[in-house]
Amino acid sequence: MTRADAANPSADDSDLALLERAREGDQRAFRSLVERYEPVVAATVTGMLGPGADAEDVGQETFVRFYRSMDRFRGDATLGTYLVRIAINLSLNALKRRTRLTRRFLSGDARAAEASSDAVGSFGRSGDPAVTHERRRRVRAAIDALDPKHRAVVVLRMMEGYSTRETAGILDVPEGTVLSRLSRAMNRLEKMLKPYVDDE
Amino acid sequence: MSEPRDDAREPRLAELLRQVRREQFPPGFADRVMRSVAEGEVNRALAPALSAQFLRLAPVALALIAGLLVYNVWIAGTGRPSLDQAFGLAPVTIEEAYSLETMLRAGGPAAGDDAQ
Repeated sequence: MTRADAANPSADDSDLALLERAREGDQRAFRSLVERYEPVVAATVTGMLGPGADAEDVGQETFVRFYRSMDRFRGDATLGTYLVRIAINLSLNALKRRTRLTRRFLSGDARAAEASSDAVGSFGRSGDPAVTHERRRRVRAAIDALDPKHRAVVVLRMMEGYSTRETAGILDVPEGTVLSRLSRAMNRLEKMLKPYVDDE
Repeated sequence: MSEPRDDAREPRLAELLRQVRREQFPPGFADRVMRSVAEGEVNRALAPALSAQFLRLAPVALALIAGLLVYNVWIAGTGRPSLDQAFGLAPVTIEEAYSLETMLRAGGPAAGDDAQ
């Protein structure tokens, strides 16, 4: 279920009720919110960072930050959007840390080789489970090869179904910036995933 | 509302990217979040308590530091280490060491003095 499928007034009302109880110290109410929004946060964070311990750490931190800032949530945006904004910012911070570590231990040539190694080669015939697994691995690698700012736009716009305006609001950039980053990201993705795109 | 999309590639790429979308963290995620929240609350309660203790002890520590500083400045002219002065230790010089040895020899052969 993407965010685009999740619009539901009754769910929003229930969110506010749970939030009010959580603000009053009701741990079960907060836990309900965690369980309700785990899919949205998980999709955002794993989209940005890939599956793994980093993603879960950021996912947990997202909810912890939300817990501490519950009183400041004014309802200007939906709760889901608010959580996604926190998740994206924390994911971008995690990517910066990852880049610093990578720069420290890998040479420039090694990094370039790593980024491009999955972009070429035989893609095989679709339908075979091994090929499906390989396709997913290459798609993941293509996302990982994107610049963090472009990756954020791709995750929000293309994977989570947010509109250009919503994406711009979450990232706090102009809509034109979203569109230009999206275009550059798609150029890069198309180059890396061309045989799969042609197959579709 | 029409979306400013003029790129026909987007739907095809989006479908491909969604194949790696994950909607769940490993099982028990909510439990881990609640534990992190609880630990955070404990730490946040601890910080003010530690801060209060620090504020009580800081003047005492500063007074001790000031006292030691004054003491060191006061005995600086004697040329002897401050700890020797403070504990009334006898100064150790070559002359004193030989004097002690002489005193011990006066009482009998010194231990370890086999070379002689």
